[in-house]
Amino acid sequence: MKTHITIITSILLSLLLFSGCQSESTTDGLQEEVKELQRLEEESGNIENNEDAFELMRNLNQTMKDVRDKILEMEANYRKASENERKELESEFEKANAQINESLQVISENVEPYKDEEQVSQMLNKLQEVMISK
Amino acid sequence: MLKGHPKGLLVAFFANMGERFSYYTMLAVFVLYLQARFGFSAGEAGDYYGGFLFGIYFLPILGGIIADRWGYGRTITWGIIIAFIGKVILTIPGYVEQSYFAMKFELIIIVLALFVLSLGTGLFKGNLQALVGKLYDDPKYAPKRDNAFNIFYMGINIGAFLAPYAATGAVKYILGRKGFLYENSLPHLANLNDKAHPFLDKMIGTVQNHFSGAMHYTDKIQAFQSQMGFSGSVTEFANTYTSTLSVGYSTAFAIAAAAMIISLVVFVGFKKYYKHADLTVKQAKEKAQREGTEDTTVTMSKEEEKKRLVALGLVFITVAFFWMAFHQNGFTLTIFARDFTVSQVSAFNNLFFDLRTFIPILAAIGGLIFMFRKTSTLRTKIISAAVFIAGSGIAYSFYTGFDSQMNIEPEIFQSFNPIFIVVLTPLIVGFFNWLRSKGKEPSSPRKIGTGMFITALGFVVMMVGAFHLQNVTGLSPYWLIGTYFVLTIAELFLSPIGISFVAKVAPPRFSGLAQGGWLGATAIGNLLAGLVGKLWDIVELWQFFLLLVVLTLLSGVFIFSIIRILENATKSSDNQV
Repeated sequence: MKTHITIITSILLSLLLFSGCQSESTTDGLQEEVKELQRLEEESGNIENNEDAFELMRNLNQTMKDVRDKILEMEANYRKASENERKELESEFEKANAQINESLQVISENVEPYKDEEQVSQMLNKLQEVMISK
Repeated sequence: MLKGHPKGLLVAFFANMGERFSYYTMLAVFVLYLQARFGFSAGEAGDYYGGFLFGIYFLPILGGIIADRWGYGRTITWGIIIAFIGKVILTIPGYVEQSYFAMKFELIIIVLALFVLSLGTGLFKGNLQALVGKLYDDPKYAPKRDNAFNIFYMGINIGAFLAPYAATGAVKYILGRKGFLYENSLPHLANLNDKAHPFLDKMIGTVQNHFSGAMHYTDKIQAFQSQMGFSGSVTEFANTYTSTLSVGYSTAFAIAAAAMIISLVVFVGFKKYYKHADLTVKQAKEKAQREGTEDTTVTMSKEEEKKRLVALGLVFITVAFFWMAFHQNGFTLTIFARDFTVSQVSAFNNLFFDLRTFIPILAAIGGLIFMFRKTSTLRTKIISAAVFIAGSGIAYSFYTGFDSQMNIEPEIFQSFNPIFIVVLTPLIVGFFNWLRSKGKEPSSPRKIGTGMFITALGFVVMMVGAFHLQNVTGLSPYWLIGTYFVLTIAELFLSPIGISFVAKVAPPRFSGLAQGGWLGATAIGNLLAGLVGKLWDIVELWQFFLLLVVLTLLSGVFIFSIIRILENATKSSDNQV
């Protein structure tokens, strides 16, 4: 009985530790989001039907939410930063913004043929408010 | 359902319902209030919310220690009074003029209010459960202890269910007096408008370049401004709206405070119905000595106490895993509802997603059942028929106003749990009564273990849904509703029965502390829910649900593997009542 209890308790606790020990993500500007958008840009070249377009737009919305959250974080740091740090943040943002601009251009062109489909259109509507929603 | 129960149960039921209504009314708008008043992000507001919940669930341990020495009724009464004071303090900042210099002071007031409120709840919550348990130490009532806690638990959920409607009703009323509509997103937009956004503004421009119609926050505020017919600048509108909204939220806190008075009146006014059970071990001995009667309090050896505390500790560990899985409802299951469930349903399906139609439908079904029940009297049948006709009529009148496709909000799924609790409690109580009449009612630990397996089943439904999702773009909402239904059955097997188990097994001199320990285990479960929830973005959907299935199955197996220890603990307590 004791062995039984020990084994099950150990499994429960190790699963608990496994889930609890996930490290917090560190802030790295917008690099992670830029990479994700570049991946979506590449994926958008393979859209074959409405479902693919919908799936892509859903992922795009999620990534743009992450972009928004990071930007708000960057702005909070910007308000407290010294003049030099501000310049660094500005240049970091400009670089990321240019890359995001390129990715969005390709994605919007590839999604264009599907934009009137109901589900895709719903996702496009969501994207229009994603930068200002909570 | 209440036949054969002591009247003290009803007193506890209504006192608890009032307190829980008050608590959830306050909780329904608390985070929104912090965001509207102080411009907090979700994360910042979450820190206050998390700290508060930590206090709410851990301070009952302190409350239990106090009550085990000082007396349950007295501690509970002071708990209600202190929680009332906490809620009154919370209402203050919203009613005063907002200014930058007052903000830090206002935050100090909020923190003070939360501390006082947590302390009051800590003195109240676990000890009321302990007092209900003591009512059932009487051998006449002891066999109905599990049922009693099922009924008591229903009171919690009725209070919790009604609370959000009271809170939003108060907010809408205050806004309406100034010609405003309740618009949840406006405080966030107003906060954005309040500061310069060099990066966000540019990024909005970038999105606008490629996706026409992408909005700026000032456009959105302006749209609301013209909808509400407010003249003046965007900033004036935003500021007036948020300060009115703060008053609305504070009014909801005031309603919460008022509900505590009702709870106090019920608890103090009907004291005679529980007074006989409201005794600590020391007080019972003193009373017996004073009155020259036999001392009926149970004196336990240290060894017996240790055995029982070990049994309780084992249940607490396991139950933390239940709450971990169950409290995914406000977290990952809501994200699932938002991202993977269809956002529109037909008018017919919307009958079950709109509370204005769903509740009348449930009432109509209830009326129908009582109309045709053999044991119903003529009077009951007439009332039931009236309820059926009224329920059907109300539901139909709203139904005719529905569009062919209706939007459903992800938060609406959380309303199903309290509704299912209220609907399913009489059925579960009836089921256990039926089993008892046949001499087959399972012991409390077996019910808890079974509840764990039922929880696993609930997440199996989600796992199958996650597999199905690979073939469709959005799941039918009935997958989630099905899961909530199964999880609610599990909850009814586990949570009220667990409280009953604690009341039964706790050594008499630690009754309050043990109930505090139960709530502490719930707090750990809540904490684990957040930790496990972090895996949501890391693993596949089906893997996430599989993890919950495995954890709850293992917890169930664990309970059954120590069932003899747990049943021996309950048997020894049964022998002593």
